[in-house]
Amino acid sequence: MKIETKAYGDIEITEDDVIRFPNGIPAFEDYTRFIVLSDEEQSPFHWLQSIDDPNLAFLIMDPGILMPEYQPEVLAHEVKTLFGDTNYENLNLWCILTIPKSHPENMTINLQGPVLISLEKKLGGQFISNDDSHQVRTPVLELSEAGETA
Amino acid sequence: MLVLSRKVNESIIIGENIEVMVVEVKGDQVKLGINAPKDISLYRGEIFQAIQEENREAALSHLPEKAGDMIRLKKKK
Repeated sequence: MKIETKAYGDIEITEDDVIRFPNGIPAFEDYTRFIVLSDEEQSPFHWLQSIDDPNLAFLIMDPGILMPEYQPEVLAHEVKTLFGDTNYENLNLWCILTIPKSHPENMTINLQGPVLISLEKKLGGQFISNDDSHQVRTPVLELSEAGETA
Repeated sequence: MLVLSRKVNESIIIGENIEVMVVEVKGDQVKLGINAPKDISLYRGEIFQAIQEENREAALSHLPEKAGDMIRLKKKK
């Protein structure tokens, strides 16, 4: 099927690429079907694109490339409610980025609201990390510098 | 919204198995103790709001040209 995307215009996808977010994403609860699109090869940036609205797309990143030790503290029963089990190894972990148009260098990553996706079950959701050190706005470039010296 | 007055060590019961007790009151801060089953989600109200607000901001994000280089360059320095 053909869908319209924010970043790449019209693209062709299959029903198999669609990931259901039964609860939507907080503030966008009505949008329950997404697809993960990769930017150019090797790029750390990916898009979580709504199938239902071309204008709704989030930039996401694997937080592990910035913070290898990052482990969100999410409630097991919430994970189980969504995915049917708590098999964390089979889940993909993403964090949403905020990149201001005029000052991209001020980009931040949301470590408090990690997104978990099961490609096998085609399900996803945004969770809340109960670790107080995980903030909604953590500067990305500071993290990548910290990672370099570590 | 239901408004109830409680003193320290007094509690309210929500449903069959959730108890919220006032543990301490100091100035404008109230310490609450909560007894609830493990499968009940408990979050500070402002955390959920912060995530909603951040998602609204994030949805306006733009991917700049060479964005990948910004991060890679920082790493190479």
